Amino acid sequence: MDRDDLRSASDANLVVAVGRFRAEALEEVYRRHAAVALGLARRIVGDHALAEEVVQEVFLRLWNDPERFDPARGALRSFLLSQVHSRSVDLVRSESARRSREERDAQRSVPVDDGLEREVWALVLTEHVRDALTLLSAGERSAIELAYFGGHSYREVAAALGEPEGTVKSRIRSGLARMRDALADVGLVGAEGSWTER
Amino acid sequence: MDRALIPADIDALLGVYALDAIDDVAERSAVEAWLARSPAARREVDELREAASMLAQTTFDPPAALWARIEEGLGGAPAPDLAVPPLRTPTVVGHRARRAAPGRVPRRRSWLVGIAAALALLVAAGVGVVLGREVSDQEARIDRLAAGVEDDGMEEAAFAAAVQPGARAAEMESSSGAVGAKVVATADGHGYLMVDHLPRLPAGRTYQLWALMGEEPGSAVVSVGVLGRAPAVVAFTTDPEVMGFAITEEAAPGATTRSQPMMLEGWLA
Repeated sequence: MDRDDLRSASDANLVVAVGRFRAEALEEVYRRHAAVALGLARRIVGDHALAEEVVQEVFLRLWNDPERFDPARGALRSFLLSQVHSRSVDLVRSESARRSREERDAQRSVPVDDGLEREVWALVLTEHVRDALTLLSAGERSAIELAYFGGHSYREVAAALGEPEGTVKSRIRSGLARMRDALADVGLVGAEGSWTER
Repeated sequence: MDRALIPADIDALLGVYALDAIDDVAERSAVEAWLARSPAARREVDELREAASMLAQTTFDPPAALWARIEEGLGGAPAPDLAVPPLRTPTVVGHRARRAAPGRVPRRRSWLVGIAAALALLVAAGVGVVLGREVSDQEARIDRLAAGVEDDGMEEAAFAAAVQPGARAAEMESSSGAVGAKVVATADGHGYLMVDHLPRLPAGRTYQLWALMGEEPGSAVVSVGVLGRAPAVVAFTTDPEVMGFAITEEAAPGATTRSQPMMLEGWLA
């Protein structure tokens, strides 16, 4: 598979090529997904250098353990972003990042209820995501935003919103499920229509 | 966590687990143990994570130095010098329409359609894409990876091959008559092998596919490719004049000439 083939290869085939130690296949995965990965990491950790460390670690992990990606369980983009999210949350919960997190939270002036919608408003491709978000209650959106972008545990979310922990767990689960159903209806997620950034 | 969690408690945690929002180690361990046992719970977490990942739409162009640092970290990997044919993901337009209108398929090809249907099922379960004339010590890594790869392009290509004009197919049987694999070869020398029953081989062994160029004793037997230890669906290229195919078990990384008895054999028709 030469570079032109790599440009047109599916994400799944790129990962197979990564398994063959094809550095240019990893580079193509990086070309497709690094910007959104870095965007998410920066949003969560609130620090440029830390965010780059997260992205570097996630791509090196893909290189070292490509078989951890199972295409039957979702798109590569989703897999990578899950890795970025998990690692970013680990960082923001660590002492070393606590200060920058506090500074970031202090600087955040966007109201909780509006922030999530604002985050996805700009891009045309996210129109369906925005539509899906309108199906969620304000309580569901707030809980999901604090957990996903804030890196907060559900107990912290419950405390921040003044809601019982069980309510927060339930809202996050039901909100994500409703979002998922709506996105699946328009082919943005799911085995048949996972969107792949090229 | 004050008490042991019951399944209903754990199910209630799946959403927050999908968002990495459990900071209680015991709770997280309980969820992970449940995920290991419950495919339904695992599927739900995968789906919720995929939905959550769609929220991440803000992009930030990474600085060039970031890729440079990643590239530096790739050191130590073997040189990518495998003689492995390129993976192919051809686009086939209209295959779904053909699938929906089987009456348009010539009658003599009806069994090819059956093979294609079987292929689709196999592909849905996970497509392997391993083929080559040589396999190095990366064999195990590629095996693990390719065995899990589902590739719509491959599915489409295999289906299309089965219904192409001039396509020939064969069931590959053992000496006892058991069908272990099916194979389709197109007039332009492309082919797809669909394995039904081949036991996973131990480390250091590999299946190998051979092209049978004639039915007479002494006819040429040409290596088509090394299949790895647990092939599922494999794309290959071969001589358009090929008469049949055989599969042997060989020592990794494969043999240049057939040295082992044929495990499966099939003649194209």
